[in-house]
Amino acid sequence: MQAFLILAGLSVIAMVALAFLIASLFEAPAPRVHAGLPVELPPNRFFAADARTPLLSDEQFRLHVERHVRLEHAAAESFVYAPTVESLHSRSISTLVH
Amino acid sequence: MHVEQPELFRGLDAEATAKVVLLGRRVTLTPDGVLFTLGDQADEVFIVERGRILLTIPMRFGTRQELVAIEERRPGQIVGWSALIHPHRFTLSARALVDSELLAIPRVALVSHMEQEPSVGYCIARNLASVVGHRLQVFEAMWLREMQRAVAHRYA
Repeated sequence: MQAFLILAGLSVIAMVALAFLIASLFEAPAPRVHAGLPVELPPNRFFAADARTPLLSDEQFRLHVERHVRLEHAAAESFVYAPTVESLHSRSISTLVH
Repeated sequence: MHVEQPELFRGLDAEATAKVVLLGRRVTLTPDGVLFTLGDQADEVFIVERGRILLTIPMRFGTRQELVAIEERRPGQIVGWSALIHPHRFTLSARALVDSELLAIPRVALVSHMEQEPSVGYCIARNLASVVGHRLQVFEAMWLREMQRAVAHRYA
């Protein structure tokens, strides 16, 4: 009788161990991070504005656009008077495009 | 006219210029006074005699629409040459920046005068072509610069 109880206890322990082993085999793999690939982080929008896009009022932005037009107009005028490839594609100091 | 030889009258002598000026009427504008609006029928061409005229185009900023300054016209310069070019509609809006005075010449009277005085007509047509051609060259260059930036952005 004693030997039977020991055998039954051992078989219960073996069944539980087998169940854990089977469950771990079919578990979904954990996400892996590849060292060579960039990790895309969510933008920081909650407490601070994105530093790349400073907040401008509509009026300030309109003034930026008008300044850009004046600079581009001047660059185009200088190209028309002395047309060269370099003057056509010369960089302006407009903050709207650089 | 108070202005020395406006760009539309280059090459005309004083007598011929005076005859063309007589075809027109004076227009005075206070600051922010509207000369014409984009889409309006263009029946008169203007020559700035005094002040400064701002040419604007509407642009959308989000949900709002704003007039953005594109060019400025000063004494001696022509404004609204769309009146002489088919389909006779203004493609920009114009308003005064400061107290301004302009000579407004009706298209019908000007064209009739040019037909009656071919040498005057030739001179005015040549000056107009020069003004329009220059504008085309400048805006073509501006467009090319924007296109180059778009291409550079694609390959960046």
